[in-house]
Amino acid sequence: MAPNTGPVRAQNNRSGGILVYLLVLVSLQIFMMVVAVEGVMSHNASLATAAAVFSVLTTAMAFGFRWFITD
Amino acid sequence: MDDAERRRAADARNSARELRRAGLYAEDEPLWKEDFPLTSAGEEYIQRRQFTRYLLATSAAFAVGTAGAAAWANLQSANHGEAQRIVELDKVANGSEYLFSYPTDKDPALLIRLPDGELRAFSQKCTHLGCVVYYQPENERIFCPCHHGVFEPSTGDATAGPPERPLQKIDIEVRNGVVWAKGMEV
Repeated sequence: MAPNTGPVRAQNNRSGGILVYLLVLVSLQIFMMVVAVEGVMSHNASLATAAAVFSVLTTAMAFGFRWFITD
Repeated sequence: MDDAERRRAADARNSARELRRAGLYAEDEPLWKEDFPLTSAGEEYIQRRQFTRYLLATSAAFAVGTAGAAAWANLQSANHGEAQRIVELDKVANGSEYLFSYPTDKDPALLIRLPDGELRAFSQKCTHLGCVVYYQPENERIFCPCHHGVFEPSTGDATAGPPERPLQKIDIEVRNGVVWAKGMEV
């Protein structure tokens, strides 16, 4: 029987899921930045604040995602 | 070990240290890599967890920027402005407008004297995308030429077009025949 040599790296070489996550996350963050700037331009502080809250939550989700990933 | 071999080994150590300084070696790289900077197939492999560092850095940078914009917007709304002389009342005819700046020189504002003689003052920034609005007495409306937004001149409420929020109102009063701005209404 062959000795256990740990996970086969070749199986993990493609991380398409993470790339999609990255694109979605960056798109979301850009959108929320635009909303916040629109809030500044129109003197609507509540709109900018809501965008900032969602942006911080999205970053927190990214932290959670990193914690979830083990390799 | 002859001199040539020693020199080659020293060069290899130096190049490994330079790579470490340049951040090309991971922090958990084994120490022997400094002395023997040899690579093997598959070593360029990046873990998903390492990749998410960039993901986090990008996300955090955007979050900081968005939070900064929100803080700025909140500070703007907290600026109610101080009393400021605008213009003599008799210089503004019924059914006409007078342009001024309030609360700072960078904030365009609009004083309107309605056909019945009532006075109203608003920020001149459209609440849609910040374009400059102007009074159209012939149509009894405040108009934004950028996206055809329409506001009610007596209240500042949005009545047509993309804007959904009313124009920001400025408190005014007439003192001895002079119109004064007293502050922004929140």
